[in-house]
Amino acid sequence: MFGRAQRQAKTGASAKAAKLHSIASMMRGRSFAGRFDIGGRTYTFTYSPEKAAVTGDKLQLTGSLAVIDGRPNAGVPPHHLRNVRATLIAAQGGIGTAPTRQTLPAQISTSRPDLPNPDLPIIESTGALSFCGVLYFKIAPLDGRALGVPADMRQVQLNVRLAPVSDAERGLQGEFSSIVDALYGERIDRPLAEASVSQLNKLLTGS
Amino acid sequence: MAQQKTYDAIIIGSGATGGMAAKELTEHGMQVLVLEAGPPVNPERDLSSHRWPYQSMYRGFGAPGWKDQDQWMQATAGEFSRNFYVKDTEHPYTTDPGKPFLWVRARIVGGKTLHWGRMSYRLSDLDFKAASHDGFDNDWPISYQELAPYYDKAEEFIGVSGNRDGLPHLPDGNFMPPMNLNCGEQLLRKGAEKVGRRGIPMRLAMLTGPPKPHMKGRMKCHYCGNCGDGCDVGAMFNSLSSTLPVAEATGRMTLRPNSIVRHITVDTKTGKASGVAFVDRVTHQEYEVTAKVIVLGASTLESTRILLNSKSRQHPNGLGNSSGKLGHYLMDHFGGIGASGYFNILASRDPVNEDGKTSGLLIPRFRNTSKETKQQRFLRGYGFECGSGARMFPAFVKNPAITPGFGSEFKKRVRHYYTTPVSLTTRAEMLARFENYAEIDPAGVVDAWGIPVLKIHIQYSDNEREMARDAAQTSEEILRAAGAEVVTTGGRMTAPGRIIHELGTARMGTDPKTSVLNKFNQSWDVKNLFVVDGACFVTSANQNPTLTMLALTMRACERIADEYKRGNL
Repeated sequence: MFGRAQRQAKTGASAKAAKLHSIASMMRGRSFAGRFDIGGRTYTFTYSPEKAAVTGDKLQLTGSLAVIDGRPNAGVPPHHLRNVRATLIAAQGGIGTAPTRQTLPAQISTSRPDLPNPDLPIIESTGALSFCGVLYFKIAPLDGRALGVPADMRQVQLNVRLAPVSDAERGLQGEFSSIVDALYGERIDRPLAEASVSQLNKLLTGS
Repeated sequence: MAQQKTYDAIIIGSGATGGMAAKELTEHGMQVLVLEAGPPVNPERDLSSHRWPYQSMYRGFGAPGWKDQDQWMQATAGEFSRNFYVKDTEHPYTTDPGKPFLWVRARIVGGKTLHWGRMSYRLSDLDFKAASHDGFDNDWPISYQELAPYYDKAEEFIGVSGNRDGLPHLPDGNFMPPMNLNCGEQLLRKGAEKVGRRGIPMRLAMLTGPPKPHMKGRMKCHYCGNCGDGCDVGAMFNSLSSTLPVAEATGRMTLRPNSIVRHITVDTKTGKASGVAFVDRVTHQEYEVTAKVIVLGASTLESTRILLNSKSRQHPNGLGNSSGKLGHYLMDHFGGIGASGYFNILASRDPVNEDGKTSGLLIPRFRNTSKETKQQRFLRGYGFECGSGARMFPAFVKNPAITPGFGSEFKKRVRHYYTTPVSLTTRAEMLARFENYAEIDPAGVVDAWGIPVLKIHIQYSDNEREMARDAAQTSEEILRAAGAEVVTTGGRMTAPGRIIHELGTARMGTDPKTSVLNKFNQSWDVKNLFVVDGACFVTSANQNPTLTMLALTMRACERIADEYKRGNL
């Protein structure tokens, strides 16, 4: 009744490794932890950023990626990759209570020409009350086999939900929010970005 | 290999408009395929309308943190209804810094009709011809007179309770009896009248009288109060109990759940839509299916996303987008502004069964309805949704301003105030502006199936904020006039999207250069393509939009059937 897509039939794509499009995670401590399903198996993973930098006006993280076969008693040791680059490509604004920004509130204000007119009602989680709720990273091409995953992982998107449950996580969310403000809005604010990335590096290294 | 079937029509979506399109087209004799992105529903297994919070370990709140982890934008999802909503982990979208959008989505057979607010109001020519009244933007390409017969049909089919109130800007319809106002709502109505405002019973798509012969399997509302968890007796209109069974009974509908549409395919020779490419949600297997007509009812932003993702050599900016207007003029209503408190006179009373009614008092729009009510500081208007009486615990107890403390004193206060709360909240029109729009995320963000997602750009203008300031004042004025103890006033405007009335982005019009659809919801560019959901709206008005979507769908389907029979599609 329903025709298989012609392009797949022609290319025999169904015989190739399944493509993993995105993996979802939560910020936990300084790491991003999550799970994904592919090929009938569940895997857990942790991406632990160690260094942040601004490259080409984008936030780029470098860190280690650990993937574990989630089958009970699989007995398969975790697969680790070091120096995995993740480039922040986009974000989703959060709804709710904004984290306290530890750094540079003045710059944040001046980076927002759309601050509400104080005489009129304010809008939930918007403008000066806004913050970042989700980060979307593009991960540098991965070799699925090296991670023990039978999937095409050359173009994986890492979704990171920021829902802090500790002061340390709130601090990280604040810095990520400032970086998104500085680099991903209508105008780029490099001084704010540099200051926030510097602060982020301190938080990532625990210094 | 068996030859693939070509359907008369493919309908994308099984919610309010998709379900109605399935009913209408199958009744007109067309063979239709309904593609629904989400899973099927077994009402007996999946609807929890009669499950009490105390039956759950988490008392209806769910395990701590579940929302933050999986469904952070699904604001109205609860422990018993979470399966009706998408997982945000699988369905990303993006926004610019400082400009969030709260996008509540239901991917499931029945869509958002499983938990919608059921408020059903007609628009009038104050809305359809709004630009003629105040000069802002465009009129709709239709008048109230043209849509009125379809409002009649829609109300007759779905069942709407209400009172004939004789308001010219909120036309009466074919109503079942209204739900009676309770004591608090009567007090509030009197207060409103003291300051010159009308108060009327809410008009709701709920059966308050004996079901009519065509309402097979549906029952009269018994005021259990859990409409948001799915109505397992079919008292509230939803696709599961109303439209889809009728379509199914014709024998001409094929419903395929778990079918996520990637794009609409186009015949390169004719330029017409030829079918749909979709991916199975569970198996990730890719499919293509063909049809003579494509009807989009996937919800305002999902329909536009599909069109924008349907790029081809002939339609390089998205299907049906020669005007460049596809994605633009995104609107929502706003709320969050109002007043709340309690009526001391109603304290320490026993609750009654009618407290379970999910109805209330509506204070219809009273600004800019005539020369006498014209405002200098803003265009258009707003109304108030108001309620009073007991609600299932914890309800108002979540507001520490009313019930502070803990222990025995806390329990005493809860019992004392249980029947007293009263509140008003705004439902206001948002102007349609080109600069509020959705596009395919330019950075390349995709969903779990690799389909490009939307980036949403939307902000209120000072028109909405001036309206909010006015609403804060008038709501407090009404509450005080009613004799209530006022606890909260003003508030914050809801973030765009929170009211779940996203509208526009594929607007109807009279000119192919300035609109996406003609007056019959038909694409100007692709004559066998129709968009019947909220994407077609030209203005948001301040009324809840679903009834108008249903009426427009009935009208569009009548056109589709006629043109199809004539061989014009």
